[in-house]
Amino acid sequence: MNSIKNSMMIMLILFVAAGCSILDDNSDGGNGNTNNKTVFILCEGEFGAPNASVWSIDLITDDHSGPLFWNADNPLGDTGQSLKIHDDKLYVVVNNSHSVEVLNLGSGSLEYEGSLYVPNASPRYLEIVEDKGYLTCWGLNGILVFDAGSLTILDTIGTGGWPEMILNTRWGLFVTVPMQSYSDYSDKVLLFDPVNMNSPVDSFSVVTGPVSLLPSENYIYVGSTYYDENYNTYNGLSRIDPVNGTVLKNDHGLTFGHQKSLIEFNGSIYRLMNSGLVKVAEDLSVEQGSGPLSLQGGYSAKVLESKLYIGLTDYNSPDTVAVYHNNFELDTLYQVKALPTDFGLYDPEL
Amino acid sequence: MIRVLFTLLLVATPGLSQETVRVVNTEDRPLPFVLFRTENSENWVISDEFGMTELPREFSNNDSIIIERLGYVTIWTSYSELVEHSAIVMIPEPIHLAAIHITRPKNDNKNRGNIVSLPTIESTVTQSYKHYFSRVPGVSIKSYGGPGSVSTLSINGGSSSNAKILIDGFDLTNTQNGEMDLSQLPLPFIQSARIVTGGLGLHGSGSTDGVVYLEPWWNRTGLTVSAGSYGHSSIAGMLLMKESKRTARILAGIRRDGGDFPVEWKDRSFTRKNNDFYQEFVGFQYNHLFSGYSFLKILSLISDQERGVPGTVWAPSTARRNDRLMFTGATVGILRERQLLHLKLLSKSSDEHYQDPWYGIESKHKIKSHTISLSQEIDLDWDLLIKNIFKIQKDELNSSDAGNRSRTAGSNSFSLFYGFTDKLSVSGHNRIEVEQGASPVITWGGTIRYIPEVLALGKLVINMENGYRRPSFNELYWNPGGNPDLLPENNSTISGTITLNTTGWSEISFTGFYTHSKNLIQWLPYVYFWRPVNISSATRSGIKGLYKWELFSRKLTGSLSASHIISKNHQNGPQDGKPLRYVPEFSGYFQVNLHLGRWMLTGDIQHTGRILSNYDWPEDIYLPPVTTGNAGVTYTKDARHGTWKTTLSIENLANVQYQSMLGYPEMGRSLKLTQKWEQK
Repeated sequence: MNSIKNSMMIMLILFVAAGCSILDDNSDGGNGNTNNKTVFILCEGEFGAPNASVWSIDLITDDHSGPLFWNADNPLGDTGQSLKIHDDKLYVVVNNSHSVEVLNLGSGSLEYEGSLYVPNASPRYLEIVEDKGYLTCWGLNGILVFDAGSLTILDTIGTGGWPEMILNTRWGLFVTVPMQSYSDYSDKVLLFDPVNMNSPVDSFSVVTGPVSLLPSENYIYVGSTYYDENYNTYNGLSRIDPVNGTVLKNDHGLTFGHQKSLIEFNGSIYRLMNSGLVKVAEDLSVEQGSGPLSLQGGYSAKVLESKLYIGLTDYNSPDTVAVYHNNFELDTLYQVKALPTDFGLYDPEL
Repeated sequence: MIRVLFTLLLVATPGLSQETVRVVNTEDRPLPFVLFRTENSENWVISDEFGMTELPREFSNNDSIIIERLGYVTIWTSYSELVEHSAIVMIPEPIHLAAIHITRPKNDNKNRGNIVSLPTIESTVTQSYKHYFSRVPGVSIKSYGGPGSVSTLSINGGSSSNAKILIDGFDLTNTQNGEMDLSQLPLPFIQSARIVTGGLGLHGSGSTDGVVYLEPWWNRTGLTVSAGSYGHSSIAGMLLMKESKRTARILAGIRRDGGDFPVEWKDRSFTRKNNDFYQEFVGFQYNHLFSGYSFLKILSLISDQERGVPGTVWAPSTARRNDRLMFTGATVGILRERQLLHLKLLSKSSDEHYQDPWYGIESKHKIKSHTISLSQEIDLDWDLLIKNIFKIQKDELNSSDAGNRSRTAGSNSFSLFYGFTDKLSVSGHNRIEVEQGASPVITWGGTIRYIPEVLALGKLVINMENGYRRPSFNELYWNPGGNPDLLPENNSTISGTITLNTTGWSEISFTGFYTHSKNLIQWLPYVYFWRPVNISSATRSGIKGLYKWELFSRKLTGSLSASHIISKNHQNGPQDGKPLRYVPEFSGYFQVNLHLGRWMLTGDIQHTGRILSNYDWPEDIYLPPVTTGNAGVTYTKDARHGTWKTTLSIENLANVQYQSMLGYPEMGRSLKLTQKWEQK
């Protein structure tokens, strides 16, 4: 019932927004104000076109700006993959432009600082530990290590396949490896010690095609997706216990509409689907319609400052970011460019 | 048969290219398969279905030329007189009253209408099809940058799948993707081109916007070598063998391009790599004129290409592509007094092997097509002509990405032409096509030609027709993205061309058109791939102008052309009302040639307005306007053993950085030196 109410609410707001333009569609293209706590949103754009974009939401004034810094004449790049905020800097990983674009946030507004070009590397996700950037790169079959300040490349660490998500935890750096090659899947999640990255300290076998990671208090949750030759989608979930090295797996088989995002919200684990959130049970099973939200075009999700940010898409610009309170009540809808895929929080006080 | 000397009706307007001649009857109906021959029949050529032909170089100024077609008065003239005029009117035999009316103004601009005839490639000092076709208003070439990139041609802002490319009348469209990649056709293989818009429904699927007729080479024995920027080198040899009424020509050559060139992207300058292109080709032509006005023509080509696939400027690729185009076509024509029978056979195949080692992608595609067509043209009365074409085509695809597919289609076209007077004629056509597992498709069209002879109005051609395009195999089945639910595209076009009478040294024509497309097929991005979708409704309309002049006994020639096209997507949704992708709103071209004895200097400037490349929000992505210039100089010297011609050409003089496809920069300034020897 709750989900029906929520989806009706979204529909109503979208309808009113379309008619009366009350939806926050500020697209001033300004460089954004970073004096306050700010949520940054990365939109992929269309594959094959250089129209990835970054947007911002000022959490104090609720100002919504974008596309930031880059525009059609000075594009950010082709297929924004992920973003990382570290030490007053915003790092944007642009997959099909093979670059990491860096903006300085520390001066009160966005300022372009530089680019790290990694030709043919197909960069995916970035973690920064003690000023060293660890960038997973499909094209390198490994992790590229660079100096996050000077953007100089330091090293490459092999992963035996195409590395995807990377996550720094108290146990070390977890890296998912969903593919061994273009046609062969992998089921590996590797654990590295950032102090000595030469080889993984541990390796976990999870459901085939691990693409996402979610840390919880005692576990690492892993979302998996793989395809057959007809592009039918298969999904699954795994849970790694880093202390004793055990893995709980649940392959959901042929399923539709799963997205890679896993979130922990109000003490529960959820996986995002096109149609909403589904709650993950203790045995890692998911039940359609079990979640608190019904959506259309759910694409990405993240929890920031106790609020839930969900990227919604119809694969065409403009798309929408929906923000929910912790009781799943809709807060605000923001218009952004196509395919909102990642979110990050900048706190100038930290 | 009465042989009449100087029964030519010499239309005084110079031709668009001096070697091109067009033949019509007194009702202004084009006469196909008219024989032009020397007295001893050693050298001859036959006009095409538009009654047009380029005069072969074997004809010389001293030759007497005989122009014959059964049922018409034979014309004797000299070559030197022939090249001075663009059009010849043949009079039916026996002469009947309606045909005697031959008084026309000497400066009449007849017979052009919706046909634009281009000069020979060689005379334009061009290095690429892109440059060659840029002189035609409304024609654009999309390329992925670099010497070996796929290049496709589109007309009036339509997709390249709606512009049919024929070589000597043979359709070489690749049914896997519905397009013809011009890079597979070596430049020396092509002599010249003419572009026809309107009245083309007879050609079936994919000819809505126009048909490009490419004339195969007809050089004498000779050798051409060239070298130039970005590691370009080429060599092509031509051999001409003649015996009585038989002519054989062989062409073989190699082209090599290093292709790497500097580019700028965002704040970086770097070298665009993996642009190399290597091409080997062999072509063959055999023409045999039988007694009794029958002929056999055979045309064949094998072209092998090895090329790098450089990817987008922001995502360079190390992929490679090898492809081979092979075709053999044969035409048998039998001419009777009031009837022309015409059998065409075509066998073609295309192989492609794509490898991307970085991503471990390897794909192979092989497509074979066989076509047979039988055409019968009957003069019921000298003013009334009917024509019927029956055609069967079978295509078989074996593709690692689109699967194994086959398609057999049969069609029958019926058309008629009626000349009310020598100033007013009408023609109409109807075509039905049936295909396994698909509903029959019926198309129709009609054309009115009128010569008002009022003030400066020369000729008015109004054309109305509908056409269609079947989805290609890739559009239906490509994995991922193929859309088996795609509907055929339906297009309705109305166009009008007016040619203005001028003073005899220039020619002006204007064309207006309006095209409405239902279920327009367009590729759009979807998730992580692109897929074709039907756009329920889209329109294109535009106006094109062409002004050509020749002064001082053709010592100074030139042209000015421009087109303005407005396209609109009428699909409900965010793109409603926006232009269609890759339709240049404005394009212009200015060219001048100066002939000074043995020297020929040429220069041109072309401008393309902004082009919408991708739909986006809050602003769409446009390619900016671009203006480029080209120049060339040729020195010709006659020696005892042949003619030597040296050409220096420069393309993109100002070294402008631009793209014709988003993400695929074109090369900067390039120089090419060509040395040609041709036997006398």
